[in-house]
Order: sequence, then C-alpha cells, then structure tokens
Amino acid sequence: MYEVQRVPRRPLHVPATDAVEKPWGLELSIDLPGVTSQTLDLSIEGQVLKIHGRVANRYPKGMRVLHEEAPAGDFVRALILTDEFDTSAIEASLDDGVLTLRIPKRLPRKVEVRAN
Amino acid sequence: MRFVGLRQTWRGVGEMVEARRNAGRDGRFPEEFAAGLDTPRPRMTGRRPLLNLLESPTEYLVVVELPGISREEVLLDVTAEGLTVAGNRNLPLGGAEDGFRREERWRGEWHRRLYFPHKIDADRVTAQMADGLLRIWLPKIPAAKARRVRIEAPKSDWPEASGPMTDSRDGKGE
Repeated sequence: MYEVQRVPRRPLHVPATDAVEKPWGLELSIDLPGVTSQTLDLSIEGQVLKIHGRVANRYPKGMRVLHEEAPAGDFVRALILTDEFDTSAIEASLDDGVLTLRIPKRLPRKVEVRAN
Repeated sequence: MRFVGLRQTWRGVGEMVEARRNAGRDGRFPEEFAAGLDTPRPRMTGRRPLLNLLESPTEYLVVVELPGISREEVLLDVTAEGLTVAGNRNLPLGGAEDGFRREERWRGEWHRRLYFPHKIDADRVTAQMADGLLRIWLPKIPAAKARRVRIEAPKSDWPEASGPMTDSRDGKGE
C-alpha cells in the first residue's frame, strides 16, 4: 500500500504588481501585505525572477473567523525578464508590505579590437 | 535601438498556475507553481482593501490589508455600533518619459465600513499597523446581565377572577 502524505492545503496568491519601464530600467512594485524581509525569498536564475513571500498565520489564538476576504497564504510570482535587463544588479527594498525592485538595463559593452 | 516588445517578454510563469501542495512546507519555492501544474487564484481585490473579521467572547479583531500605506494616511473612526476606515492610496505610475507600464495594484480613494452586532467600547479601541497590515482591536461592551426576580406568594387582597375561565384549545372558541 502506498502511504499518501497529506499536506495541509494553504492558498497561494499572486501578488498585484505594478511595472514601469524607466529610462534606466524596470521598476516593479509588488503588494505583499504581511510579508517581512525575514519571510521573503527573492531568487534569480538566469532571467527568471522568483518571488516567494511567506505569511505567518496572522490570527491570535482563541479567535473565531467571522468574515475572511484575505485568507492567510503565501505570495508567489515568477517573472521572466528579457536579456535587456541586468538581473545581477537588481535593487530590492521592502517597506510596509510593498516590495520595490529596480532592475537596470544592461549597458552596451564595447569590444576593443586590437590591431595585430 | 528602442526597446521593443516588453509586453511580450515581461510575463509571469506563475500567473496561470497555483500550487497549494508544497507551499510553505519547507520554505522552498513551490516547483509546481513554476511548472504550471495547477490552477490560478488571483486576489479578488477590486478597488478596495481586503479585510478579515475575527471574534472572541470579549472583543473583535479587524485585519485590513493596506500595503504601502503609512499609518498617518489612514483615518479610523469608531462608534459604539461600528467603524469606518478610509484613506487615499496615491500611487504614481510613471511619468511622461517612461515607457511600458502595467497596473495591477488598486489605487485611489478607499473606505471600508463595518457594523457589529455587539456594542463597542469605543474608548478602549486600539489599532496597530505593521508590514502593510492594519489590526484593530475592538472590545465589546458586555451585554447587560439579567436580574432574577423572586416570585412572591399571592397577597390576601389578590383580585378574584370574574366569570368562568374559557379554554381556547378545545376548538369551540368562545
């Protein structure tokens, strides 16, 4: 017999994200209410940017839920950036539950041609 | 050359998918999510902040999601019947010199109003704001306790019933 491991269902949410293309690059503002810098995982693999914000259960013990519009759950979003963006130079800051990412555009690299 | 086609290249792997199974289990980014194996769950925010309402025997707790809003920008009014929380979320979205922009977050004037079945002790209401969450604790006023009335024996000058008593349950009426 197989033993099926049950993991408690926990909703995942796609965080609302604003994006603006600035002259220097891309500016993203991502709503992550309840996420702190300790519970935010931001990873970059190549041109894929992964955002995983874990939200602790925000209810004190002994309280009964009467009405729930925002069930506690983690925020997850993955973004693919074009090669124009330099993912090695991302600036990130998290204030009041909003993650701001500044992703600069790659500067064109001039190749020196040596004369033999 | 001008930057072309950002809309097509800036896209979310995870927007089409949701993975509940592995989320939060070990803190890793859920692989199903990136692989696109599950169904989506966008946040139904609309144009107003989401809130949760909780109750204990002695108090209510209201949790409002207000990311990016400082506590000075929130107006909270409490009466014995309920509360109103309001503000204006001004989010600039680029200027004239900027290119592509995408708007998903809610913005503008907002308010939420709640009425409670219990009376609220408005003088003892407290509120805190942290990490984009506003928490409001509203103590209930305890319901008036009933006073038990002792039933006394009839006094000697109790008025006599006049006329025969009728029983309306026999179906004949009066």
